[in-house]
Amino acid sequence: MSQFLVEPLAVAKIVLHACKYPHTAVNGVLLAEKPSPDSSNSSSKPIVICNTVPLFHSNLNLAPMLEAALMQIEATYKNYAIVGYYQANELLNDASPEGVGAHIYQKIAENCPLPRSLYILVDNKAIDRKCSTIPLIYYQRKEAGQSQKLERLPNSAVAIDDEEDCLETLANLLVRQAYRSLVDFDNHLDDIGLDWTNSRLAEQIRN
Amino acid sequence: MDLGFQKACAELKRIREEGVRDSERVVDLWCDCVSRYTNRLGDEKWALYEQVFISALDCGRLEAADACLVQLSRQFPNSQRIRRYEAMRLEAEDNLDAATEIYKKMSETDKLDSLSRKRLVAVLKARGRSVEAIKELTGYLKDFCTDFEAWLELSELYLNECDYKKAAFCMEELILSNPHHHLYHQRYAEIKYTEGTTESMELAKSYFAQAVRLNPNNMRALFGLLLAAGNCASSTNKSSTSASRRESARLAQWAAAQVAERYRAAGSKAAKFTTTNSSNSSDAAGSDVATLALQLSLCCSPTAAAGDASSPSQGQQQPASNPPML
Repeated sequence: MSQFLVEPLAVAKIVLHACKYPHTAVNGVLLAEKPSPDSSNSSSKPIVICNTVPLFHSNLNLAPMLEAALMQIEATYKNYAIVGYYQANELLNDASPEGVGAHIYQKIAENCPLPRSLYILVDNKAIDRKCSTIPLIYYQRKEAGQSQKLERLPNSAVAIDDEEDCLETLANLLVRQAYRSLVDFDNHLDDIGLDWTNSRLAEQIRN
Repeated sequence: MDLGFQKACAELKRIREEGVRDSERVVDLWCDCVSRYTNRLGDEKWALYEQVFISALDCGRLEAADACLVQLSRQFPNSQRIRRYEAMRLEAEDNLDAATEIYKKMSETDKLDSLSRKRLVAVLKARGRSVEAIKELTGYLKDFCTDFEAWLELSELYLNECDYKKAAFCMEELILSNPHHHLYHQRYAEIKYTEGTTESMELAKSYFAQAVRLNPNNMRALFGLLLAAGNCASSTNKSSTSASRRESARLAQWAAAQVAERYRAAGSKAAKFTTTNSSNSSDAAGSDVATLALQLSLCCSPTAAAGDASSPSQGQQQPASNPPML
């Protein structure tokens, strides 16, 4: 039984964000629905990551804009919780989740209202137009103890909802260069008329 | 097709002049609209070939890059610039050793060759050797201390190593040379904010305020001012007096009003030009942010005066009464 189920919208937004800025690191947060107060046995069911918010493509390790973004996300997505973090590293061969990303993830994990949190690292080398595999690697912080280290999760721990369809959608999006219309929080701060929730893109992806 | 060619050239020129990094678009425009009609290009032909060459390297379209390099080599034989482009071509193929060789030879032959030395830093960065890249770049800056692009790059390299003090030092050099550049003040303030000590938070507040003064539409500076002033207002440090906390709270409220005003203006613009869905979402997001910004600032206020922060006219009058920041 997998711990997480990631919906195609979330996968698409992560990969599109990485493709929009191939020359720099990008990051963002993962969203899941807040559990209703009367839900039981919540720790046994997989947590559904239904959406992401692409955050920054420059200066990932500066705090003020991250705080401003998290404030806005909590204000806008009232029925959702931030359950994780994703990052695509700057260098092609860099597959390390450590560094500032791990630090941000730890803070998110500490404040996560759900029983588990997830760190998704984009596998830069695995991104290609054919989209034969989901180019994501999964990490989680070790539950017990003060260690704070991240441990890699096997792919079986994270399921992708309707994986084949997701890959096909992703391939179409890449061919159409849909990443050009993705708006991250950095873009929003440059022009606050731009919609960082990417609602139009979400409609396109769902159809 | 003629119209496509002219429009494409105009767009390529705009990208070139603004220094935007949109490599895929450049190569697509070139391949689809321009490359077949190069005989129609005037003096801008060679600038265009250079632009397409570098953009093609950036997105891995090596055939297009080679086509441009052939033309450039023919037109400018024995050129140092072309030699450097040949080395960049090797970089794009991940042949970093050969590229490094060429750059080292070029910078030894010509001590004033700043671009080859900067490419050496880029190669070290590509190899993931950030500490060596920093060393190389600091050596470069000893010889070329007015290179603003290099100071900015060094600041980013230090930030990647989480060395905030040295990153801040680089921004200080930039502010000294360009005291009216709002982005430098804003970046410096962000670094100080991230450092997190009481003194650095006060400095962050001052520099965010200065950035806002230089460019009232800088959203990062406004958000930063709101957060930094809010942190200063609720500081429990012995060195902060109640007067300074009240002042910080006032600043935070002012910043919140400014943010709210910007979002209201953006929301109304969005409502005119977009579909119902997105205007609803940006309106909703805008009003949520406005509410949140005001709530935040009210939390900072010791008197928690509910009415004061919400009037935009008060926000517009306040700049004159802001205390001097630096």
